[in-house]
Amino acid sequence: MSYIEVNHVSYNYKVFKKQSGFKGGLLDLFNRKYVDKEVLSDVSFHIEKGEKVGLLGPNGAGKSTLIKLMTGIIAPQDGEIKVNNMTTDTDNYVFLNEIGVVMGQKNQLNPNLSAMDSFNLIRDIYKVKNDEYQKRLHKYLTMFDLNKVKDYPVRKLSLGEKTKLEIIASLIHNPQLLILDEPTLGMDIVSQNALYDFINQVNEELKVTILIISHQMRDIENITDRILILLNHAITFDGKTTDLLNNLKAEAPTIHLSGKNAVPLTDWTGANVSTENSNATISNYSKDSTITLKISELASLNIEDSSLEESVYQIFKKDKL
Amino acid sequence: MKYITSALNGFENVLIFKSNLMVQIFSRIVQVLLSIITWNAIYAGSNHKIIGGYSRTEMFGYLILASLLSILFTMEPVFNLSKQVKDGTISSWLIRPISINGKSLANFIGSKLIFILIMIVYLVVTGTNNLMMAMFNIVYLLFAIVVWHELLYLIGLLSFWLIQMWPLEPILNGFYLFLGGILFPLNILPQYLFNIVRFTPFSLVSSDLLQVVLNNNSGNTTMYIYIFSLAIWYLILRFSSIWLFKKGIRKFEGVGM
Repeated sequence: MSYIEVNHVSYNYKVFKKQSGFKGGLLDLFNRKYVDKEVLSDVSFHIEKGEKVGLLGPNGAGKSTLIKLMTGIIAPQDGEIKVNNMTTDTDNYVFLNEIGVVMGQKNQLNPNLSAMDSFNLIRDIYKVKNDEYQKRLHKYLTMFDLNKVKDYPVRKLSLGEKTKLEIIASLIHNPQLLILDEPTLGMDIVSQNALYDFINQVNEELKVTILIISHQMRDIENITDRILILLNHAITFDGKTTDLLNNLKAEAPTIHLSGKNAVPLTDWTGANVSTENSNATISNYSKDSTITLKISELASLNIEDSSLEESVYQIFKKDKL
Repeated sequence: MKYITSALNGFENVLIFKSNLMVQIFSRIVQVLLSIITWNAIYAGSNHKIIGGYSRTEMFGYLILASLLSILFTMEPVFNLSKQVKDGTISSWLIRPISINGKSLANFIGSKLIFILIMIVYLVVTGTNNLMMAMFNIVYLLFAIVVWHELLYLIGLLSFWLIQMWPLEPILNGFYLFLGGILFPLNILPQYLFNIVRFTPFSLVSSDLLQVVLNNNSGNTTMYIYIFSLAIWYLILRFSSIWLFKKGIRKFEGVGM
């Protein structure tokens, strides 16, 4: 039995279908029409203890609904979800002790009080022993270099500092499953790297299972071992992060050439070349392609290294079309 | 322990905004002064020394106490809950082992701690000749706060369905000012109307409490009826809020998460 089991889960929302115009508005007032909007359809996957999994999907794919189901905020209409053999339910405090969740842009820390006040409340909610709490908190605050801001009102802190404190707040009770929704939002590169080290360390030392939802491919690359892609209400990719990244990287990057007075190419085979004035664009080439340049005419050469994030979204776009 | 910490955080939350606290106290003082001036004019223009069973001094005492109570019975629980539902932050608390209702009550009590203590001191000082009665009044006050919170929490749960909660504020305020006996003592009303309205939760937590405190009469069975009525209301409100919360959470779309 896996640590997380999501079996044939489906979920629909009822959405009010508004008729357009003044007349439509009046008709809606007396006779509203609701339609079922399919959010998840027969979604199944399993996650083992200690895995680091990324959940990707375009806006509206159902990621948030899936997380709400996995945290027990809502119950599936079909299928079942189990975490450590427990049905996800917010009335089950044993289950709630098992999970820690960081929600992007949702403050769990009271903005008017210091982070320490909120941490103390969380300590009492989970009945964490004081010596364990002090030790854990000191470690996390030191790792994120937040000791000097822990006593300031949270609203006075930068977005990056707040996010890091939110992550600490979700780890105080030592959860076995950590769900992170857009954890690096508003963080600078240095803080992002510190976060990656931190999460990887938490995973290695405590065997905490990590599920991360992010649009930042850096997060996915630096944290996860496995990726789930949620598209059209279902899981369309479930595989190793390295496999997905290698596939994406296998596509040859587009080359842009500019000539001083004319196109700086003399010959080519096995590649798509388009020219305009003294510029040329080379794409769809392979290791067997031959492209001969006229160096004396060459003004500039750029290799378009499309980001992984862009490549993944190309997949999403193709799917939408 | 978690609810005590939550209450202390609610208390700190008030202290942090010193100016807000001062403005709140100042506005209540102005409100009381205006009521006193109005009733002073009514007494001066009337041929009667007693109006509705109240002498001028008794009326002033009533108005001061009513105003102090109105600082306790405010609408925060409605709007705090509504804000959490609208911006989705309620999710952060749903996934923690704490009752949303219990946390809201603890926060509310914490935010009113100063005024609760002032009321308790007032009840002890004015009840030195009858300590049992003073203790009874304190229990009534604390129970009234719990029932008031439950009523507002129930109204706050409507935010799962209503997009804007602020249009309800003037209605609630109107009910509270009238039925809570803040504008005038309810027993000035015709007897049949008084007998109906005094058993509404607004009256039980405020107007009836004031009557019990000011009449300071341990032999009066009315106060036991009031406490019993509060208990009935509490059960009705609690069961209703549990039912409405379950319905609401099914409808909750969580604003992203």
